[in-house]
This record gives sequence, structure tokens and C-alpha cells, in this order.
Amino acid sequence: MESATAKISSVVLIGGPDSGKSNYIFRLWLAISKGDGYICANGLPDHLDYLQTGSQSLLKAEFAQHTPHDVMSEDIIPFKITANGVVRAGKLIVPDCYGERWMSIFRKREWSKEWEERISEPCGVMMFVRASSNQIVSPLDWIQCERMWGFPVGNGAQQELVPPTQVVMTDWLQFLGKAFSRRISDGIRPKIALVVSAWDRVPQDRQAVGPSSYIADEFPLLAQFVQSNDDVFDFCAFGVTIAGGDFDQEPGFKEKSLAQDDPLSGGYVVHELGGGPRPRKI
Amino acid sequence: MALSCTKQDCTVGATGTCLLLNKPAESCPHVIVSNKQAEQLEGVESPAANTTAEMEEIGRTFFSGFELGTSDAAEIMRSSYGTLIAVLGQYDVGKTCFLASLYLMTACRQIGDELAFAGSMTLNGFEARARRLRRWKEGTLPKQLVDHTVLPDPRAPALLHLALRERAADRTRFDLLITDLPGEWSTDLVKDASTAGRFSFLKRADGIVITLDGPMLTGPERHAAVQNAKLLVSRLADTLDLDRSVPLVLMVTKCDELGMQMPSIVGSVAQHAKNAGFCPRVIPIAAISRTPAEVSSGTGVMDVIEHILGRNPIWTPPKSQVVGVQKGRNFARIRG
Repeated sequence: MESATAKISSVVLIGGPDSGKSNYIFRLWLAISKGDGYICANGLPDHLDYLQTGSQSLLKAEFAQHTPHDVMSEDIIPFKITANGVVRAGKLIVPDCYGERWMSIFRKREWSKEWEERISEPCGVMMFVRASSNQIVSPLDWIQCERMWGFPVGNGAQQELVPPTQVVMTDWLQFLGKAFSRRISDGIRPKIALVVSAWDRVPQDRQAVGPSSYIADEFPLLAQFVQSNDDVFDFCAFGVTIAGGDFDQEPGFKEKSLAQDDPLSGGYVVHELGGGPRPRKI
Repeated sequence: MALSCTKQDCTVGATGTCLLLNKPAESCPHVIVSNKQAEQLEGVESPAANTTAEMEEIGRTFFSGFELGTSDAAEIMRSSYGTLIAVLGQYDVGKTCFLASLYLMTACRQIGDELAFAGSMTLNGFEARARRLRRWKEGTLPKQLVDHTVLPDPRAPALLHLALRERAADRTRFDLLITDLPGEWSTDLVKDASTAGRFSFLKRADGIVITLDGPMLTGPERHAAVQNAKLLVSRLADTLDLDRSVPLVLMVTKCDELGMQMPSIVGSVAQHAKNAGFCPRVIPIAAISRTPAEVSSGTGVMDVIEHILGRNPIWTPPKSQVVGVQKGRNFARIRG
């Protein structure tokens, strides 16, 4: 029996430049369209150009390049979930935009009416950060601070603040908290997935302790916010690698992947839904 | 012609008066004379980077992130109780350094095992202060705490917000609202009772911190510094008639330079505060240590906060001095 009243499920992807949002969407589309997982495509999306172009790149063992500034894609993927003989259907709406757009929201402290309408609907959020990305701005530490305060203030010209990544991500969550305030006051905990993309780039010993520990080590302010607000948001951390390696940086990996039936078969997700970190093939 | 100063708390740009009393102010070696009309604001990116976003209709605007005005703070307090902490003290005694250190300790998870960061409406403000990028701007400084802040506003007397939450037990949340005031405000209050009006928010304060420069209290200026501190206490007690049950901290800064030894002369300030009816607590701190190998940065900083929150296990408040929220001490009443 197919539910006629299935709600539209919207997922908002948040992340700065080079955080892995677009490649995730393309890999997600490939997984859904393949049809052997829990969530399957329920027909084809009306507009496939963006999804198809990106997923074609992945199938050639090439990561999608930086999303152009004029791209604001809203991918609507009809899906169905079959469980215990019951089929639930809906539409997965996944907006994607270039990472600088989210940085602009942080800096300008505002978002568009279009975003507001999207956020006002029931939706989940995936917040991305890519392991070892050179776009990550490290937090201020005592050594830097002691050096800054050990000398007189400079020549009077005020420099621009370059906020650490954990500050930006924490503020994004606080923005969402504002936008979701009505839902939160109704006792609903909006779902927030913290996604560490390129999980394969995380050193092996740190992979073993899972994405939550990785986030706690790299972004302690963000991790504390998550811990302190777990009754407001339903947080969960994930490590995601769409191919299990790096087509660009890992010698021989691209060739090895292309030699397989599925060049993305090495991809997996590490989740902590059952407590400790557990890998799951995708 | 515009004046600015490399000294962190100097407001020559706003007042035309040099804090080191150089006359004319331009003769001060720290003063910068400029024809620049407006400096670029921190955090505001070039318009060219946002052409797409600018064309769109704004759907929601968020807090500026640098400071909170009294209206902004009232919004926070509509949903939870805000613990208002007033940090007072003369120029260059370490008030901003204290804020920077508190933030960095929180960000680095060094505020103990019991508390954790739970949010801040002024993360950019803390970051900018920790990096010494947020200085008083040119122009006339407001004579009151600002009411509402927006992104392009320069640094002005306002509040910083830091929410902490207990990790265990009943997971109590503390929304700290900490003042960021220029040193001149304290100097002016000592000199001129008519400036007391700008401190009317102290009637709502949950804690008062008087900042004292530790090395100064061991040097030739110690007697003058102590007299200033005593006069400030007297103003709080007599002119402002503050509730004596509010925790009062005499925060002695830069104690890393003193090997964390408390200057003995601080005792006379504490005694003066006791005589005025307060129950002062003297806390030495090393907010950002110049000798980190010997004294860790952040030493004593959380003691100040824990004391005001009444969480300090060493400190047991006498029954007569239990801090409570008095009827009518709501924030809205003292605004404007």
C-alpha cells in the first residue's frame, strides 16, 4: 500500500567551500537510482541535468569540481521506502549551492526569502566539513593568542576577521535554532547530521574512534555546542567517503577503481547510531 | 583629520582626549592621525563576492555577532535568565584580555569537566577581541549601553554573550551577559557622580568585577591605583546604592608577572569594600600569560565566573549574602 499523504522530505545541505556537499548529492543519486538500498528511486526526477552531469563525473572516477557561483540547484528526487511490506513514498528535496553562499550567510547575518521558505518547512539538515580540506580555518590557540597579546596593537589599521571554521559552523547551527524556534518550542528536535566527508583522509587511528571524536578533537567549540544542545537538536555524526579513496591524490586509486564493476564500490559511511563507530557500505 | 590610537582602550578618536594626557593629543606617540573617513568593518566582505545574494529578498536577519545591546539582551532573557556581569576598571588594566581569555578557555575546552560551551550570540565579537581586532572606533562613543546592534556598528559599550551548560546533574544553563565598557567610563564615574546614570544597568547585575592591575599595585603607582579603586567602590555603594548582596570580585590581573603572588595592598581595597557592606572576593588571574611556562594562561579566570555563579566549591556564601534575583530586577526596567 502506498501512502497518499507522504510528506515532502526536504534536506538542507550546509557547508563552506570544498566541504563535499555536491559530490555527496551525486553519490546519493547514484545510490538511490541503483535501487538496492533502503531508499529507492520512485521514478525519475523531472530535472536530471545537474544530477546526471555530476554523477557521470563520479562514474569516470573524477570528483565534481567546485560548484559555480551561478548554480543554485534544487534536486527533487522521488523516492520510496519499503519496510515490512509497507511502501512509503515522498520527494527528497536537496538544495545545493556553492559553499561561498553559506559563508556569505554567516558574514552578512541574513539569508534569502527563498531559504527562509525552505527552512520553514519540515526539513532535516546535513552540515558538511571535509577532512583535511585546506579551506578549514583552525581555531585560535593559546600560542597564537599569547603572541598577539605580547606586543602592542598594530598600526591602527584594523584587519579583517577570518573566523575559524568551528565558529562559522556553530553560528550556522544557531541560525537554524532561531529559524526552527517554533518547531523546537513544540517539542520537536530537528535532525542535524554532522558529516565529515573524505573520511578516508582521516588517519587510521582516528578513524577507529569515530566521527564524533574527530569533530571533538578538530572543532572543540562546535562539539561542546552539540553536546550542550542535544535536547534541542537531534544530532548525529557521520564519516562519509564516496569512493573509499582519493581519485586525485592517491596514486593508482583512480585506475584501480575504474577497473572494478562499480568504480565507487569502495565508498562507505561510518555512523554511530548504535553507539560506537560502525562502517556501512554504500 | 581623524585620530586613532594603537593603545587598546584609548578612545582619543571618540573623545579627542589622550589617555596618557598628551596635549595636543596628536603629540602622543601612540596616536595615528588619518584622513581616512571610515575604516573597513571587520567581517564585511567585498560586495563583488555577493552579487547573487544581494539581488535576493532578505528572508531573515540574525544577530550581528559582535556585541549585544540591551534590547538584544532582553530578547535572550525572554527565554532564559541572563546572568549579568559588569566588568569595571580603568584603562589598560586587562578587561578585554579577561574576555579574550574566558572565550579561549571555553573554545579550548579548558573550563573544567562540569561545564561546556552551549552557545554565544557574540562569537565574532569574542574572536575579534581575542585577536585584538575589535577596537573602539572613531566618533562619539555612546553615553549609555547601546540598545541594539547591527553588523556595521563599531565597537561600542555593550554586552558579550556566552552560554555555558552543566554536563551532568540537572544540566543547568547559564547565559552570561558580560559588559564590554571603555576604561573611561570607570574613570569618569570616579571623577564625576553625574555620569552614574550610564551605570543604571548595575542595578540588575548578578556580579560586579572591579579589575585591578596587579603589577601596578606593586609599583610606585600603587597608592594612586588603590585610591582610585576605593573611590570606585564608594561610588558603587553610595552614588549607585547597589545591592550589597551582589557578588563583588576584586580581580587582580597580570599576576603572571608577579609569580601569582597577590599584592598585599589589595587587602586595603577589600577592607574598604567590606566597610561599604559588600562581601568582596579577591581573585588573582593571569588571563593571557607572558610567562606561560611558569603560569598558565587563563589561571583564575573561571574562578571569577564560578564565584559569581555561586558554583565555586571553595566559597560558601554567608546566609545574609545569598544571591537571589530580587523582585523588579528585570533587565527592561533599567534600560534607557
